[in-house]
Amino acid sequence: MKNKIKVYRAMHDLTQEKLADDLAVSRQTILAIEKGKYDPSLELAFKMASYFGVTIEEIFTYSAEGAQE
Amino acid sequence: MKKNTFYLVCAIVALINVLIFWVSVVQDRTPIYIQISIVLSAIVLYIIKREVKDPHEDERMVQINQMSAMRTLEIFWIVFFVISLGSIVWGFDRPGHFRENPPPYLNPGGPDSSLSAGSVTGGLPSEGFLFAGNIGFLQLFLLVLMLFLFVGFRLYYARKLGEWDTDEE
Repeated sequence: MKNKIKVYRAMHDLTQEKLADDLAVSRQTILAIEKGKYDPSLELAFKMASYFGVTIEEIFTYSAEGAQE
Repeated sequence: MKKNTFYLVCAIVALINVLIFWVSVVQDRTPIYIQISIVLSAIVLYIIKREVKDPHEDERMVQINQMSAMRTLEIFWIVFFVISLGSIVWGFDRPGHFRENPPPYLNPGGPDSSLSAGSVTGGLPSEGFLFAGNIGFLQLFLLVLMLFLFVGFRLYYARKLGEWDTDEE
């Protein structure tokens, strides 16, 4: 799954630490999602979309390549 | 309470348990102290852990732990099964089960010998192996093996899911 969290984070001038705190996850989780190493749960994906005021599809796009086993 | 304080408490509780284990073995020779102590320690640590305010155990950490636990069980049950079967083979390898005469290691001097099984062991499997104390060592070995397996898989999945990636900011 690909995502544009880094782009949205930059647009809102947010650090990984700030975003992680606001979403009640660790900074490593944000970093892992940005790097595509971890696919967030549906709940966390909705929280992120809601946080940036966009739909999930605008942030996350499905890609079979690199999908978690 | 902070996470580091919790780890400190864990270390203190572990030391206390080592002391109680020593008392159980050397002083009073009763297992009841260490058994009660371990159960109480687990309860106390569980209660204290709930007071830790900065656990940061989010969904990714939970997933890492779940995957590690699953893989650990997948490997561990095979090891456990193999060791259990081996023990059963030894258990049946004696008169009254599937063997009419005692095996050589239970009767080292031959059928007419007066040598007892306990007199000659020489590192070979003997009846003593089935005693509770030795079974305890075996179980402890299996538990430690399980712990090592879990830690190994935990490290593997943590790395796979980006635990130690460097920040590009």
